[in-house]
Amino acid sequence: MFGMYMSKKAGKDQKKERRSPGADKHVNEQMKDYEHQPVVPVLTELLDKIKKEMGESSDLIIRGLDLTDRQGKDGDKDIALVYIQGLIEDERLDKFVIQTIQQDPELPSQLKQLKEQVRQTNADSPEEPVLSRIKSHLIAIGLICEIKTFKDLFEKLFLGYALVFIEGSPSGIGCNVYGGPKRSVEEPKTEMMIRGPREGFTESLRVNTILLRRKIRSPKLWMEQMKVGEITQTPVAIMYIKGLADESVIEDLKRRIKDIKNDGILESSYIEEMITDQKWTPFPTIISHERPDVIASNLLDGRVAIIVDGTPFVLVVPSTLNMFFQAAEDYYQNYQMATFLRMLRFSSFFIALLMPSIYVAIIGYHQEMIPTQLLLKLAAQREGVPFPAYLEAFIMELVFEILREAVLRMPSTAGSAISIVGGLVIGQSIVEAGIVSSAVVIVVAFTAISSFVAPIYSLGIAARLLRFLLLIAASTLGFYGIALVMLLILLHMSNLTSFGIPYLKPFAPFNWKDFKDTLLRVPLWMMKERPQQIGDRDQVRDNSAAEPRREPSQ
Amino acid sequence: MKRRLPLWRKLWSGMAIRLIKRLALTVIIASILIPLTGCWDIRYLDKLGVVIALGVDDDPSGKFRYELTVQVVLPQNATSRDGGGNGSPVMTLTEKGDTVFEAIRKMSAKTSRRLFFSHTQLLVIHESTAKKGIFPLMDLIDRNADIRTDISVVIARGVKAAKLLQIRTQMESVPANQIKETILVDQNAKGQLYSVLVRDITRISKSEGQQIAVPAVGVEGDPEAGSTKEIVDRINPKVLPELKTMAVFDGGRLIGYLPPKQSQGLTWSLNKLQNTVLKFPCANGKGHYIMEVIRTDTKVKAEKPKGESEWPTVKMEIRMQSSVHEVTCPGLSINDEQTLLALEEKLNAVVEKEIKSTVDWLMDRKLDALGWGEQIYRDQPALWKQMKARWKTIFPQIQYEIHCISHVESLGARTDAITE
Repeated sequence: MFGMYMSKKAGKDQKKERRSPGADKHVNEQMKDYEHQPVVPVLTELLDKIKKEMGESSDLIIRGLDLTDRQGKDGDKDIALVYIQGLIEDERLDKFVIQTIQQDPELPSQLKQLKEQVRQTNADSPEEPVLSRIKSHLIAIGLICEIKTFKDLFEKLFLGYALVFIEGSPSGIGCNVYGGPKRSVEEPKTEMMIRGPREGFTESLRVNTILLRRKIRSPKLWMEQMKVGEITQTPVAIMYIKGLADESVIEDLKRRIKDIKNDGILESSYIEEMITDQKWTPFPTIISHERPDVIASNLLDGRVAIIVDGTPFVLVVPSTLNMFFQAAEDYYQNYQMATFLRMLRFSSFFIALLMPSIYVAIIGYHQEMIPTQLLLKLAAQREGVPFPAYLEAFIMELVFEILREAVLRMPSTAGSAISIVGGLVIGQSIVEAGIVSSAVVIVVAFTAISSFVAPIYSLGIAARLLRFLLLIAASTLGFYGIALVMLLILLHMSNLTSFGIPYLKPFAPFNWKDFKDTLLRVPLWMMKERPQQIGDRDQVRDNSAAEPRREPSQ
Repeated sequence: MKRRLPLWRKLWSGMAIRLIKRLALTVIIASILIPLTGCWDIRYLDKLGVVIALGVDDDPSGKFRYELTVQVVLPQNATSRDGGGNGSPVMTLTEKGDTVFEAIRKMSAKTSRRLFFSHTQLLVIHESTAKKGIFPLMDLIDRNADIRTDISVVIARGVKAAKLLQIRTQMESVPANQIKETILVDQNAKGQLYSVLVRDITRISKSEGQQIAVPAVGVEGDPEAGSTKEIVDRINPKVLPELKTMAVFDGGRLIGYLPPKQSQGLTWSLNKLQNTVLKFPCANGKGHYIMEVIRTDTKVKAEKPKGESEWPTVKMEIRMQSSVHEVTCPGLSINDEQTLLALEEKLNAVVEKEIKSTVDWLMDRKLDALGWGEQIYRDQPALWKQMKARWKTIFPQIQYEIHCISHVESLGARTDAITE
């Protein structure tokens, strides 16, 4: 199965030979140019160049330190600190970098020596007592690095490093004093639950990886970080558990991420759209979560997480349709209840998808299919309604979608006003005026509530769009049309894959072992094996003596 | 400097071509499927006149064969929650024709809504029409895929079918429902009648020698008073549809009506009875006691000829579970086992007698409404071949045994009679 996928991938590589002309534009905007520009040892020249490249941006702070007391001569400094204001933590910079350098008694003499040396030889000296002293004795910061080229320089500058440059030295030091405004770890807004951890991911990549490390304390939790977005240079990390995650998936994922050549990554959905297997589908083939516990459990299942700086939504590959019906709380509560909720979610997905079209089909074509009493009730409601049933359903669906979008986009203070207008005007008055029948309002309202049941928002979007397609089919062909479109959807879904895994797994191809966590959520002590994916890896997840404990013997 | 490509050229890349090809294929396949469908005819619900009942009478003028009456529901009146104060829940249309469909099509001159027969519940046939044969009436219903075959059939006894459909009822706002539901209630509580559907009639019409039986409905009160609004405002209605007994047929033609006891016996023999109540005189002759048959099961078997007879013997076994309900016998204590056994035996005897009288009544008229011919065909197919042609004359000579087994399950909340 995967071999087939790999061959497909090879085909893609061939195609890359003919890159679209638009891709050339990025060459000028990349960081690549700076790779060949070394840091110059002359401080004034260096600082001028930085200023020039950044267009003298006013948040660029250059702090010169004149330690050898050559007052008078402007700009003739010994040491310069370069950083972006607000991106660093001032207190740490002051205390552990500037203060220590200023108070060191030996540094001025060494600096003088260095200057002499440079003046005499007029060349870079390979051994540098000043640089190594500052590095090893003076900077009291954990994470430092050497800056040799302008590429390093700009990369680190915008990651929240303070850069230290010394007159006469061909390289600088970057000290990580990252700081500035940051959202604290809060309860996630999109995945609510009653029982379970209250923490959610934030916009900071490092905080997010820490949250995961705190869940999985194992050296086997591996992380690889890369930069995506040729202007934004967004840090993107992939995390997986070595030995559980499929190597070919990891390789493939890395290649797909590296293939992304665009201006910027502002949210993980950018990555999601760029790396999906199928680009023309309303169904989400990559799932995103805001909860560290969910991501941790996915990592333990052998999946790979993609964390993007600047967004609390972490992607998981490969994802199957089944995962969109699982909520974290299923595992934190009684399995009977969880199984019931699973089935509820599956059925409400179908209700959200089908209910309006079934109503339209029954009213328009298949009046014989419903009980007589119900038929008479519906007919009585339809009495005097000016629109045909399908138009009525269309109008109400559209009105609901407008209302939903309005409530989402309005300032929250205006939200209640909209719900009053929507509920009263559309819900009540329109029926009382006899413009639409109350049955349609009931159908649309029930559909709407059902569509909110989906634990993952993106699946609801697929249902929202396909609902209109089904509505058209139902209004032209009745149940036959619904069956036809459902068949097409099924056909489409069984063609989908997510990183080589069939999207409908374990329903098709059917897999009884995986079925334990689909419509059912069997007790944890019965889920002894990890999801069956590709190949045969370490599959035992639960080795506890695990049937429910017997009564202790008396 | 690279030349900027126009938009159409960009779109016309390999991927787009593949996509368009695939899309075109999908559209072609989908459009091939469309002409396969038979559901293309959209009909708006509010443009339909839902026909809930059909009534067939003889044409009084004699020009046509039938006079057809349809009962059409007016949904806004039939389902309004304030008790239908604003008008009649149904209306009737009457038209004449030589066939049912001819009459229906003639009605289109009088309706603003297309008549819709998928929800028809009831077919009422007047007795004089039924005497001429009811099979021709079934053809349209059975043949047309849009009309259900679970329409309940009744014979209008002593009243025109049209009149029966024009009686307003209080319990059910739609009169057809009243008749249909009453039959079911009676079948479950007394068993004097059982519900017969169009598909039962078509099935029996092609079976081995069996004759159909159809419940008959008459009216209590003045049938002319029925259709006005005043009737539903009265507490004691002036007129009500009332169930009579089963009507028996010979080759689809009405022959007569079973007496009440025998009508119940027929229900019992056909295993359609679910629950009934029987009255017994007390041993000392004062008062009565009542036994309810809670569950009953009738099994019929045709056995090889016995003794001198050359024809099979039909064996009927009736199992009953019963309970004692009302006791007005002074001093009767049903506490001891002997009394209970006596009660059981009495019940067996009475049921056996009732069934026997039913069989005799039918044998006198050479009508195999019991389906024994079918039973012999199933159990003794070789013998049936010889009998088939002469079944009508053989049926009265068939030997039969009736065997009742009963068991008293419950005595109610008290044992001794309260009557002194």
